[in-house]
Amino acid sequence: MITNAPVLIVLIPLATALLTPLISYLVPKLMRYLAPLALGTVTLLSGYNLYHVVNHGAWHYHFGGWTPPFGIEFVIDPLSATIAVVVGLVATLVIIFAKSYLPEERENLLKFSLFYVLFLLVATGIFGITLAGDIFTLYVFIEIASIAAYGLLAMGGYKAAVSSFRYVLIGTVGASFYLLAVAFIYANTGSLNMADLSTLLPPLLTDRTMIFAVAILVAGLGIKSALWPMHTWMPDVYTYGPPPAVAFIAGTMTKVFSYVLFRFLYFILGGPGNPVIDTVLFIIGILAAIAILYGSIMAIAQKDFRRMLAYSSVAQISYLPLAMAIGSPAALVGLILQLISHAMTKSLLYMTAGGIDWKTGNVNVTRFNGLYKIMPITCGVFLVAACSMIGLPPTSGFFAKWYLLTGSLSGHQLLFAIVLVISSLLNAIYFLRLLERFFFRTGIDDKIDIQIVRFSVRELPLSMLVPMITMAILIVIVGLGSGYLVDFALQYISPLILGGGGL
Amino acid sequence: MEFLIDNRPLWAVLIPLCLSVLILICHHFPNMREFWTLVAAAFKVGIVYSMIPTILAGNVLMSATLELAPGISLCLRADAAGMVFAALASLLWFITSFFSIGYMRSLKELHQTGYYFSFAICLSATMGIAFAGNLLTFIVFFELLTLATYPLVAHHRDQESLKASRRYLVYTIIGGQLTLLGIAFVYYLTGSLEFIPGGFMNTDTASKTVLVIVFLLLLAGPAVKAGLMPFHGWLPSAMVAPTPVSALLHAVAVVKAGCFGIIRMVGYVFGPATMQAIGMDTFLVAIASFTIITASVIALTQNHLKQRLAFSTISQLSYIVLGIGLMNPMTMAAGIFHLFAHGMMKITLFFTAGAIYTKTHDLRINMLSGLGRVMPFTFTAYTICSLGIAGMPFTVGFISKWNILMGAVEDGKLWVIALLLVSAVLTCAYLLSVSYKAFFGKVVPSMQHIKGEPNLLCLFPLLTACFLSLVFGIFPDFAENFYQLAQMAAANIFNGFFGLGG
Amino acid sequence: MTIAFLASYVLFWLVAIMYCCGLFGMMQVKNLMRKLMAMNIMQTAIILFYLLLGYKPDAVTPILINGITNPVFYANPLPQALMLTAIVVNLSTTGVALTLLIIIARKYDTLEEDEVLRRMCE
Repeated sequence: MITNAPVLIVLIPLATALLTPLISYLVPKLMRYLAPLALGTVTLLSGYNLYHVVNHGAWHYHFGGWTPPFGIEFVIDPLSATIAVVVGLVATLVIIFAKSYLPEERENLLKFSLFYVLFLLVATGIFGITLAGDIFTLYVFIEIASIAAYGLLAMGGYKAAVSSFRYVLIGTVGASFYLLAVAFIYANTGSLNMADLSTLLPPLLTDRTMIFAVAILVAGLGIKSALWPMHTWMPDVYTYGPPPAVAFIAGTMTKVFSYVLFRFLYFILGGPGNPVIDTVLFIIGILAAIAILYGSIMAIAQKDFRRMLAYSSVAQISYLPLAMAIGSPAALVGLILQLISHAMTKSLLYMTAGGIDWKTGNVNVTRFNGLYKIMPITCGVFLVAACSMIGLPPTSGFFAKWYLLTGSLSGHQLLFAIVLVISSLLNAIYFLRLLERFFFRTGIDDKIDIQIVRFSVRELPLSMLVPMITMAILIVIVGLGSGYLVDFALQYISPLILGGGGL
Repeated sequence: MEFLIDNRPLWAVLIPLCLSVLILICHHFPNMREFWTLVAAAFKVGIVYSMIPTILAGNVLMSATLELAPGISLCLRADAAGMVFAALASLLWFITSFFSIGYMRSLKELHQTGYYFSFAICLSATMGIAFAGNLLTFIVFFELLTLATYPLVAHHRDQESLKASRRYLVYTIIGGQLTLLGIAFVYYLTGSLEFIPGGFMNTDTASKTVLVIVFLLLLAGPAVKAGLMPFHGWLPSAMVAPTPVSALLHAVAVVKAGCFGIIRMVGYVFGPATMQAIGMDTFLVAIASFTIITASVIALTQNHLKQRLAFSTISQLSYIVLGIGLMNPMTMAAGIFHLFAHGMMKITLFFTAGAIYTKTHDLRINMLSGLGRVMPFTFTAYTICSLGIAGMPFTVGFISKWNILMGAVEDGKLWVIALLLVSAVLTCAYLLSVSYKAFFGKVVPSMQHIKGEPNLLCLFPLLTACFLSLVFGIFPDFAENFYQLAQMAAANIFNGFFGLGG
Repeated sequence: MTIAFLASYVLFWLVAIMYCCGLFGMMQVKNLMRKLMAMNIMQTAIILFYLLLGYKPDAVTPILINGITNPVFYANPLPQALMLTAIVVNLSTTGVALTLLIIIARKYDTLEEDEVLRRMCE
């Protein structure tokens, strides 16, 4: 079993997804535990993968024994293994969170099992994306993740259906761009294997068709990862989708696409140094800088809690392309840390949004006055997440930002450093404004005018609180342990990036 | 001199942090909650003071812990300068804890659990700032302090305090972010963040313009916290907080963290030589002198006692900056000692303000007229410490000011005498006018019902602090040798290494 | 005008035009159903593009014929294999989209985008 660990990471959620409808029909009680169990196992397996890879070097898993460039392979290097672990952790915690969020009644069983099925399929797709070793398999996994996500996000009601439909259209355009780019690449090199391409492609980058291919590749992945100005699908989708689904998708999916972009630009296309790639990096750097400012300012303007978080995502996701554009070793470490940190933080924020919605039926930020009295733990974890978003120590967001800052200075990109600082300040505005409402404001006559729609438990059910608290603790641990993380895991990211010189 | 591996600095930070959780848990049991506050404060005083003899022997205690980034650990290191600040903050926290209990109970304040909890976190952060061994550790605790003070300023939860707390956050977060950018710059230029006596940035590191920019960026955060004009705007408005908060945080911990930050930036990052080379010492002196005079003049116009004390704080803090900026071992030592001296006296003044408030519920100065005869102990303490702030001999304030004067004269900067004289006159004018009114004025009709001194839990800490500022004025090296510590720190900075110097 | 010329240039251009038509339709048409159809046109264009890449004049299906081992005589099977997967992906995307359209149509009684958005905001 262990020798097949890479493929099991994808296979277990897929198989569980297929079994879930059947089990929900036969033993409804079991279903609630099956999905968390499957995802927990996958997380452990990816942890094992990481351990193995760190000790023994990159792991190439060949399907059916066919060696590349003919066969399909999964490549597990420390970077993809780390991301798989993070995705697994987020997925496991969010699906535990989702248990109480879903309706209890028996007639909703189908919807209920459908949620699990789609959730597991999204997870399958995302794990596949992180591990895939050739660009067409990558496409297939992108589409598995996306299609399942369309369905999952549409489960939030009628508005969600509309926003999700728009996501289908835009997402498909992104995927078709990607597929087109794959066609060009294949036509010019005759190969689909990433390792193979990384030697074949860079010399071809003077060719005009290949430059076009790179352009649409970046555009396609840009749409998928919601890079400004291709982010338009995101606010609506994240606002109306069911909170547990959004917690997972906002936390991991867009980031994984950024990671794919990173892989392409830095590993397959050869990284900075080539004039074409430099131009591309410059452009996405500028777009990311605009996105960071635009997203933060838009977030300040929002009244809907979830929409505010969505715009905040527009800003925060763009830290990753920004780091790619900076390109200095420290910035790339910052990229990975930001990826990890933001995956955890954003999913935690959406979990708190979901929890508040569950308890009070309210998502309007102007009506959160004195929420602390009703939901102290939720507000506490929100505080941690907000600090991480703003980049205040000792949370992981601070250290991610630290690397990005030093990276942008050592990459001689003072402008980006200033953008990062301004972004922190803008984040501080909208998160601290909310914290002020949570903790210090009261309603009229010092009474708390928050309605409670669910009285069954004092604050939230344990299955919601535990994942939230765990996530908050993880954010602090990743923050304080970021040095170890950088030393023991990220130094293996690639000798290509970090060179011999280290940081 | 030796670097000793010792975990006491770490414990000084961790104990309040851990006990704060207990405070939170005991929120239904006020007695237990306040018991934990006192336990934390007592433990911390014990730990911090047990380190002083080792430091005085010229050693530095290190407790390196987590690695935050490659080559940069969360390093806590107790040296002479840090020790002055840590000893001051922990001692005064202990005294303030008693005062808090008396004050909060007699006013029946709400949200007391959050108050004690934030207080403990603040003090933990203050210890972290005092013992930070490098810039990254420093900024971590610096930002933590910002966050932990926020609920204290917003304590009353009304429009005014929310506005003040928002203002406070705007100032401090912008300052903090600029400092962070500066730190990133330092890391980029030198690849090191370790505080080294005498500094590690020099004119070979970068061009002078770049150094000036980096220095100004680094200065931004501490300058805001230290209330240097024109970044002082948050301090008077933050006076809406309960008086113990104003006393400990806005007279001691937070603002002194700012001053201490300036000491670290000047003495341990840039160093005297570089400072003089890039001309920033003159800049500091100019801005400090301006603040001293302007803030004193503004203080004269304030009718609210706490506002007046706030501007007095702004003015007095700039003495520390002045001492640093004059770049003489003597003035530097005086600046560092003034951390301690001003803390002692100013906390007494705020205690008296708080104690009066528990009786009168009004701190407008014209309303306090004649109350000195009703509360003789309180107002005597106030008068003594006012004189101390103005720099009267035999109080602790005299020592630092005299040293600044001597240092300046030694360097031939005679205008400092004039500055100090003007400032002393102004200080007497705005502080002693209150005493005069209180002792010789007529009691306002609405205050005639007030009888007797404030309760003992308020009065006792107040008198203790007043007594201590007299004792340290007469014997500056009494008990814990603060003066010697300050001199050691200054010697370290000018000699460029830790230890006994000379 | 030989077949080869058509295959190498004109057909590619036709596919490109088809792709652009689809893309344009998705952006410009206001009816959600038509948007979906435009999306399908776009996807089909890509499939055709791949198939054209695999086209080779006078080649036979890549099944080993006795005596001929030179790959020059066989067509490239990979693009077609890839497109089988892509067709499945297109199908499922369309399926999901149609499901969503049914939900939208039932709720809002229309598939005109402006009208749907207007009713959504009510």
